[in-house]
Amino acid sequence: MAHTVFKVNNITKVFGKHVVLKDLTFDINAGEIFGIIGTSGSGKTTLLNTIIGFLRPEIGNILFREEHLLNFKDEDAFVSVSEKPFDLKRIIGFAAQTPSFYGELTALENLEYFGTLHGLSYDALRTNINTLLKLMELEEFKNTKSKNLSGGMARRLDIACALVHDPKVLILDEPTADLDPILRNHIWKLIQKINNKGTTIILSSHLLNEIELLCHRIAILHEGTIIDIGTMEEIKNKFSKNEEIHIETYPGNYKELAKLADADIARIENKGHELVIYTKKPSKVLKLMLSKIETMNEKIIDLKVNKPSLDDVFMSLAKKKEEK
Amino acid sequence: MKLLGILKKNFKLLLRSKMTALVVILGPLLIILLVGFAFNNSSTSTFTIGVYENHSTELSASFIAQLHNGSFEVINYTNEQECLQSIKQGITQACLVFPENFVIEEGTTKEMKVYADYSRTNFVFYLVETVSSNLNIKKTELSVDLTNQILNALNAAKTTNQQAIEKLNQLKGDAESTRVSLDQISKNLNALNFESENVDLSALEASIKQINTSVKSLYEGGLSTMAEGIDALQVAIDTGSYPNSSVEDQIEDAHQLLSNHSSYTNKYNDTLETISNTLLSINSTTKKVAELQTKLENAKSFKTSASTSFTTILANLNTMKTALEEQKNALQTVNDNIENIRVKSAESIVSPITTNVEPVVTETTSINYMFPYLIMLIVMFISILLSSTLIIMEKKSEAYFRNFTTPTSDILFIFATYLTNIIVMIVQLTVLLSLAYFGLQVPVLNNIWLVLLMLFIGMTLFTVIGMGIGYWFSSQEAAIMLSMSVASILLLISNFILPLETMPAYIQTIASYNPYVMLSELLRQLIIFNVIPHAIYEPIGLLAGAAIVIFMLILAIQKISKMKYFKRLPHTEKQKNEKKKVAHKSFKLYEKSIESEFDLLKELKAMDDATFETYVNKDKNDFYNWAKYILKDKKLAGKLKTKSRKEMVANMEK
Repeated sequence: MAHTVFKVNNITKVFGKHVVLKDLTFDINAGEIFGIIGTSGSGKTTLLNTIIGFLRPEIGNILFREEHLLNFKDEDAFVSVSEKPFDLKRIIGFAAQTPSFYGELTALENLEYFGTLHGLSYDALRTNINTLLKLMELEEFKNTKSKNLSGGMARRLDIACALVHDPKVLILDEPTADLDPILRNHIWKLIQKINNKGTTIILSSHLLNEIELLCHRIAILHEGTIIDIGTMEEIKNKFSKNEEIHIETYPGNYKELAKLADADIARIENKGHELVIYTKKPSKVLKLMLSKIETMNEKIIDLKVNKPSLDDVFMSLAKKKEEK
Repeated sequence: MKLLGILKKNFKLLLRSKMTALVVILGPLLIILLVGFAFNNSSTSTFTIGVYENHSTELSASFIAQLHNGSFEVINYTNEQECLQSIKQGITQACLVFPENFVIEEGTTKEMKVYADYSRTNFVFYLVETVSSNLNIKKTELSVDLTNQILNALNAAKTTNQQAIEKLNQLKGDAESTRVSLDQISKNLNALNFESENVDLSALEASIKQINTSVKSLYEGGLSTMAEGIDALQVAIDTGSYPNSSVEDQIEDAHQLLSNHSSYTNKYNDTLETISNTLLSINSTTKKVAELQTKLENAKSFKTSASTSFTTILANLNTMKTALEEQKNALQTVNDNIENIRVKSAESIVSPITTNVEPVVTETTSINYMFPYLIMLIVMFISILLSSTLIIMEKKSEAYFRNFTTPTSDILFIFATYLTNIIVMIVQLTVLLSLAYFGLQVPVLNNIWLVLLMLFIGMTLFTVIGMGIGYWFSSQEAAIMLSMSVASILLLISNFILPLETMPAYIQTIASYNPYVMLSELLRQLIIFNVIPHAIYEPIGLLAGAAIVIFMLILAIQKISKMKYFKRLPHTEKQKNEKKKVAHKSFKLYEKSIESEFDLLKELKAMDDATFETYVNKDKNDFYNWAKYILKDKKLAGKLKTKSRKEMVANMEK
């Protein structure tokens, strides 16, 4: 069983007259990648800033397991974030939405500086920096002024700065925002690498495929409240047991194809360039559909069978919430 | 170690930001160099004066020549308006307008007009003073000339008076002698006796007839006597009693005489005739005497009249003498008064007292006098600007956020920024003081330790002021504006631009607490006068106290600034609208949901202390926050503002 690193207890955060976070309660376990998804302004960053202790909740509290207690011998040995902020900062690394380092300093100097602020000894600092430069593939650019690094390198340096003191928990706020797909993919691989080394990762994103790909558990944040929390499977199953058959044909007479009727078909959506069929029995429905395609002399260009995407889940949950 | 790391980073950032390095490091050096060039002289500046004279006169030419001598550049204008315009256009600093027919003449006062640009308040008094003093030189020369003329006239009058006195003295003497003479004449006149008896010439005639008879008898007797004498003599001779020769001669003579008696008779007859004629003359004379008597009577009358006149004249002479005496005394008094004039030189009369302003210390160059103000000015501006810039640079830096993720106290960051600023200032001041000492000969070594202490206090105080500004504002423009404003206000209410003595009393009172004024005045005393002020520790304590208070304020401002920094992230209009929808007002108490004050009171009564401490402890009070922020019920929040459950219940039951 995974051990809890953070306990978020019933927190409510208010800015002036606005309640930004409302009654949030969840735990974060050691070694997992915990994702927080939500639209822009849903409170993701506020939640992360509250977890790290930058903001203090008006109601509720956040507890964490101190570094020396991370051997998990004492399950109940938690301390409040507001009580021991320095201890918390020793076990966490934080990478914000935008890279946070000094552009006028080189990559190496930035790592040295933040390592110094974490109180690392010279030797430990050297070791950690060398490891990180390799891990982040920044060795060649260590003496380059940080402001001259490309977007991907800057993001990697930022994560390196967050990891320079070898934290137990890494918090990433929108780690791939504004990056192109190739760089995004690079960062995802990096996050997985870091997690594989045993680092717990808390990740917030509005990119659902990112969360879907990386996270072991997710919390869906909407308008300051968590509307669902669990593993990807749990959430998707909670939302829908249907699977999706995506068919793309030529010449694409989707109107006729959509007339296929069967008791096991939940619904069919003509999306213009493809047809999506929702069903609990994809194998049976797929056979029927292939038969019809053959009789209509349509040629299959693409064919996929998926579970519902997180996008669908999120949109649906948000809609439900609105309706409430 | 951490402090060193932050300092290292700060200096790297400062040095690598070329503009900042240029402004912060080279700026003060440039300032002192420029100021050094500008003030490193002891002479006054050259001013350009516009001059307008309708008709050139010798007098106006002499004034213009004086302006030239006073190192003024003079530009002549053809009309007054053009001359005034030249001031507005900045071509000249003042305009001198000579009156029509500028000559010195009786009964008129000539007025020269000097127009000056009073908008240059810091310069106009100096200009007017300089122009006036130069014109006054000429005016004094003119006054001296005029006074000399008066003095010369007085001296001439004195000489003339003296001569008049001498003449009067002489006249007085003459009058006296005249008076004496007249007196004597008067006496003599009075002594003249014109009384006379009637002259009886008949008796005289009878007497003359008797004389005639007598003379006839005498004549005849004489003849007879002589004949007897001759006979006697002849007898004597014949007897031999006398030497013959002489007697014989005498007898001979006598005989001769006797022989010549006819001639004597003739003569006798002639005498008688003469007497007769005389008698006739006497008659004539008697008539004349009568006439004379008449005249004498007239003379007597005249004498009486003359005597009266003399008396009058004498009286007049006495009066004249008295008048002359008085006149002489008056002239003497005038002369004495002239003599008694204490100052007789025209220069002394025109300028009986002159003022010679001597410097308290040996006069060198202007930079020496300005140095304490300048050095403190640099300390003030650079400290405030540098510290606020450093803070804003840090706050604006992308890395600002990351610093908070490290286990480093805020005080350490604040102290590191302060220390960075102080180190930069120390480096700058070392260069500036060296330049001032070796290059400009400013005696900065006077009371060097106290001077350094003052500079340190200045750096500290102005740095913390700048840091406060930096933490308070989030935009660089606003921080720089306020930094400049604060520094400018401190500069304005000081002696640097206008003398404090010219400002209202309340401003002077405020200025006495102006750190720039306090520090620069102390520096002035320490460096220029080389004296240690008696009350030096009072301002030091005050300023150090102010620095500590501001440092404390910075800690608070930094906390507020940090809170604002984290709060600003999720605030958008959309979110505000969305957040309104999240209007759940319940309080989640474990599995229960508290919706109202009544629910809370019920739960509080039933709650054990351990559960209560989960929500209300030394760090927080969830119930109070719920009432205040979620329910917006201040009254209820007031009841819940306690850490004791029992008190909370009691308050709610009231």
